[in-house]
Amino acid sequence: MRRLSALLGAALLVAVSCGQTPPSTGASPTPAASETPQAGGRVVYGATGDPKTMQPVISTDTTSSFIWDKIYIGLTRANYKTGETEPSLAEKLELSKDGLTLTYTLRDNLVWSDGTPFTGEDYKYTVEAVARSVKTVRKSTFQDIVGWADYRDGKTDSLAGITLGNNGKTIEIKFTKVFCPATAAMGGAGGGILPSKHFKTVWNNKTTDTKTNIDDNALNMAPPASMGPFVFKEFKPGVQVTLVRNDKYFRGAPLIDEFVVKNYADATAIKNALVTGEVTYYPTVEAKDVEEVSKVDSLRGFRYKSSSYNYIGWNAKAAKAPWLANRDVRQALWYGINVDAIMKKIVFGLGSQVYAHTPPVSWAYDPSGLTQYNNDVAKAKSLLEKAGAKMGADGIYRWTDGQPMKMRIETNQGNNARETILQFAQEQYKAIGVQIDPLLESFNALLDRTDPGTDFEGFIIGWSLGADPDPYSIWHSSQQGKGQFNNVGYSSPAVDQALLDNRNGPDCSKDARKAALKKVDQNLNQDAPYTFLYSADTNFFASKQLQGVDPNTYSNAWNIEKWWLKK
Amino acid sequence: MATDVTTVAPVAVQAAEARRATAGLWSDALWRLRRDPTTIGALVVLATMVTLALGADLLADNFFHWSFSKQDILSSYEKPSLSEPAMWFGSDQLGRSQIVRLLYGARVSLFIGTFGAATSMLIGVVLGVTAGYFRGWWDDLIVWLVTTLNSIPTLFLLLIVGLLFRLAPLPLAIFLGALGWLGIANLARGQTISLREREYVLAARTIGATPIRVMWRHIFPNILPLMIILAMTDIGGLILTESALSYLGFGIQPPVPSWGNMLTGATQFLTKGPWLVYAPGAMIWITVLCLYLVGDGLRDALDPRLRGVGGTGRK
Amino acid sequence: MGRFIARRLVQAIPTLFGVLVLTFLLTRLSPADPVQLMLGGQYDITPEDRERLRQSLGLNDPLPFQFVTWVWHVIQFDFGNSFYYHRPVIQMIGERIPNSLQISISALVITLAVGVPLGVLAALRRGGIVDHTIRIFSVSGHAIPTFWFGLIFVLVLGVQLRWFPIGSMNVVGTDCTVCWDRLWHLIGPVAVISIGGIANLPRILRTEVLEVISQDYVRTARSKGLRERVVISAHVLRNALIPVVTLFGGLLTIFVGGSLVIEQVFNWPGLGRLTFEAAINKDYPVVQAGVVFSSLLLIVSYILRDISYAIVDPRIKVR
Repeated sequence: MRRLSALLGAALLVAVSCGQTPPSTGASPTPAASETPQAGGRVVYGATGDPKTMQPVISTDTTSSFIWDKIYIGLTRANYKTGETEPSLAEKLELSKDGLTLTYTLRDNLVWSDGTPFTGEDYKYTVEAVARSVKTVRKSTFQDIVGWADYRDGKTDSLAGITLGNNGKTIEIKFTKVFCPATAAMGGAGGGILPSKHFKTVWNNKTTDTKTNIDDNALNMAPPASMGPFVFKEFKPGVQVTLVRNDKYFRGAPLIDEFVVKNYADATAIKNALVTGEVTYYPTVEAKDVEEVSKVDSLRGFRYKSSSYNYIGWNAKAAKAPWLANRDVRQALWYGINVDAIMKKIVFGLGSQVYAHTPPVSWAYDPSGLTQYNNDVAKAKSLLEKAGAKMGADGIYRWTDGQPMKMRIETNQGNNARETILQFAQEQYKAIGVQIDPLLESFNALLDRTDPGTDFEGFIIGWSLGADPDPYSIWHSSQQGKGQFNNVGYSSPAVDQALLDNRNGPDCSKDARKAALKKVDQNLNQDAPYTFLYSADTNFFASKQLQGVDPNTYSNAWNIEKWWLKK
Repeated sequence: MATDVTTVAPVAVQAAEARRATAGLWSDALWRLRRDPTTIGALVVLATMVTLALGADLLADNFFHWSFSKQDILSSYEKPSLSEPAMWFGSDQLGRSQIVRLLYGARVSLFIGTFGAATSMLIGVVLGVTAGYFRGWWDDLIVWLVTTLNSIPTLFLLLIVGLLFRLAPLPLAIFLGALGWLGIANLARGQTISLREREYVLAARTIGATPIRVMWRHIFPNILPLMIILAMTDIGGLILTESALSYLGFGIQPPVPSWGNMLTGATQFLTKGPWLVYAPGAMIWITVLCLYLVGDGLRDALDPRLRGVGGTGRK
Repeated sequence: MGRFIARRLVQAIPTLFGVLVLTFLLTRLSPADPVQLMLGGQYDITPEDRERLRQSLGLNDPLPFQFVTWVWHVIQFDFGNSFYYHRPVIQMIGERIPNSLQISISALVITLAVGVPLGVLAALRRGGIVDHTIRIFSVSGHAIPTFWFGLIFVLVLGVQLRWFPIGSMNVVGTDCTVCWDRLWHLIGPVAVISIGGIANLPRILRTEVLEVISQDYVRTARSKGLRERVVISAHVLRNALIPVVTLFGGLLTIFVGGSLVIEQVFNWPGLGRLTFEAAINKDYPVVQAGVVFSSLLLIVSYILRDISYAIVDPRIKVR
């Protein structure tokens, strides 16, 4: 769970949220005649730690998102297999020819779990919450909406760019410039749409009065109403979160009675619980455990590609490691580590190596022409020397300023693959004359320390990406401020332009975007701001009693209302 | 049976007393020790371990041909085999030699245990003796300090410390020692309080000997045997604490091996490499066991109360 | 007796004070900026807002003043909000303490119930096979690393053999506290944590019982013709128990301190696990509260021990 990195803006989040069956006949396997779905039962899911919040606008960790995901949903969502945007609460969406107006039409008769009608007002309220929230990380998704800055800064009391029509049944969003990911990103509204009727009692979207606060209120840990398949029942800190079925779910009431998210100390404890049957399913079984878990008779496994990848980031602005600003050094660091061995012995072949940002599962993926940086110690050393490093008597290179090339690489505890890679890297880099000081810390601390700045050098982490490829917030040179995601100090005018082409078009066709993204990838591959490592496969295991499961890259619980437990 | 004690003992006592009538405390202790196979056995095991641990570098270079940090990831999780010395205990998830790491782990653990116990002894004796000797406000302060530290569970306290610093073996040993002097101080203080009223001490004080001289020449030698016994038990306790701390990730940091941090991911290894779980734990167990046995044996040997009680020599 | 208890309670105050001083000092030593920790992840805060927060937290005040304010809050059971979960710390502690107590108290009961008879047995059957076996078991049990034993328990007896649950307090869906399900879940953590105590008790008890048995008054009792069982319980045990009560202190330190690791291994939502996870998350308010409360537990148990001491040995009250 924790190995997934900080989530990007809604553009990237939408894809990971859960969804429902597409309007046509679902792709789920038809049950055999003797196995008719029956209602009832409890599904148990294992998570590390308690959720920090159950409100999508301020949520940043996966345990939290897993929970609110089942309660608050969006207007659209990503198809579980292809990632294409498909209708959810909205039955229709239309983008104008000039790409500046997006109109959603809601389905008929939508109601919250408490009977209140669902309207566009809820959607608008949620986007306004993102604007005024201090803790949120989703602002960049909406920054191109007309009137955004004014509302965010409190100059107006309503977001001008979103207008509701037809008694709240249609939502019209106007943009200041073309935003190619719009159709994918807007539907999520910050992850999931909040019930405005209840939340208005704790935060008034029309005032800037700080007495009411969207970031800090009682409803954030006690969702009052749900549009998703489940309704919040109770939270027992340290023990579990209990959700019960939502009879008013527009896709049909789920067959399962109760959904429990149980708190475990770490991923290994969850794996043990999966093996002993305490936990019903676990979508992220670690590579090293797959062999053991596959042998368990009562479990069934699914393997599919993930929309994510792991990497070693090198901070070009590191005060203690000025050499990281040099491209030859970064390339040397890539040549210096044997990623093939990592694939074999840490990932156990359950994944594929990556050489740039776009993950293999994406429609924009194009690895042609990318350098593969096969492990070559001699080449690494010669690159270092070309950059000006001189070998010292103790086997460590000295940089041009005389300093020994010694630096820290940090990663988070609790992720076995990353911890092992860290120790592996330490030895590997010793062989090319670079000394590594390893540091393990909590995921929270890692995110905090690797915020754009000068006080960290190398770090091992991963990105979990949405279906719509928009790496603007990670690679654009303007995204290096506090809390933003370009934390390696990457700056390339060519890439900046390509990123804007991909994001703001004006040609939003797949071919145009693919070409722009290819340019981004090629530059990243040569500039090596990260040592790109691999995209791991997802290993989803479930108890054989759990029927109807059909997980894939962009969602594993899209048809959760159809899941049932065989007695 | 209970009755045997009362009838047999006097005979044994007389015989024993006759033989040891003129022996001093230490030679008497040695005599007892020699007749105590359990303690001798434990001493031998410990001595072997210490020798091996001290010679870890030599052994790693010349016998195993494998350093403690050398990885060979393509041969990870190798089962223990006799194929080469470095693989006698198998390899871990990065292909490192388990046996070499166990050796270095021994070095680290024994070092921390010994150094920590020495620090405890130093602090404990100084504080305890001075508290017992001078009494007054100094005594009150020390007692307050002891009671306070005694009330905070060690691991909790170490958590805070671990939050603040990443400790190398030496500072960690000192820190652990700085938390473990309570028992020694209590004992030292108690003994000092009773000793300072003895005639020879009073005599020394009357003729004007300085407090330091009195403490050093008269009190200290008399409490030394008990201190040593306590210290030996402390080493065992310190090793257990350090292992737990390193296991939690707050003690010795990898790649420096400590038996505790070799177990950190252990739960994950049980199916892939059970030897990785059993070996380090067993090593801790055996080492601490031997230390306790030696401590017990020494105590039995040195305890004057035992003179003349019990024919078998061990209580 | 009442006066003794009152006196003892008063004596505990300086100790509690010492604990507070130590905890406060240690956490203030941290190089991390508390404001940064609290706001971790919130990036739209202006430097002015940070300064205002710093002021409101009193971080610009001199250290002694901060200490006094903190102690004032602590006395009212206000430890502030968790940096990580943004909930009142005292609430989180309150949820966890009962769970930890279940393990500690059960462990104490088991240790006494098993350890005392074993110790007496070893003394009575002195020199025989039973004695030797118990002594070997004793020293081994005392030397075993608790966390390792716990790991093996979970992995072998839990995952591989499925004889015991692998952790947690109850099976999912069951919510009872006083029931077989809870008892079954308690077996693992209690067995592992008591092994040290069960091992140590016989050693001490055996020594004491032996010493007492050879005393004159025991011989007198025997020659009076009293039944062996009466001799043992009335005279021998009563006196041998005195050092055992002293051991309480050591036992409880093990239980409370060991709870840190055991709760982690057995997925038990107790105080130890809360403090440990807070330490990983650099959640200082929770770590502080965890240390203070675990110390409080120990202080209370020392007081109870001294009271038991006074009951068993009336001479103590006079001292």
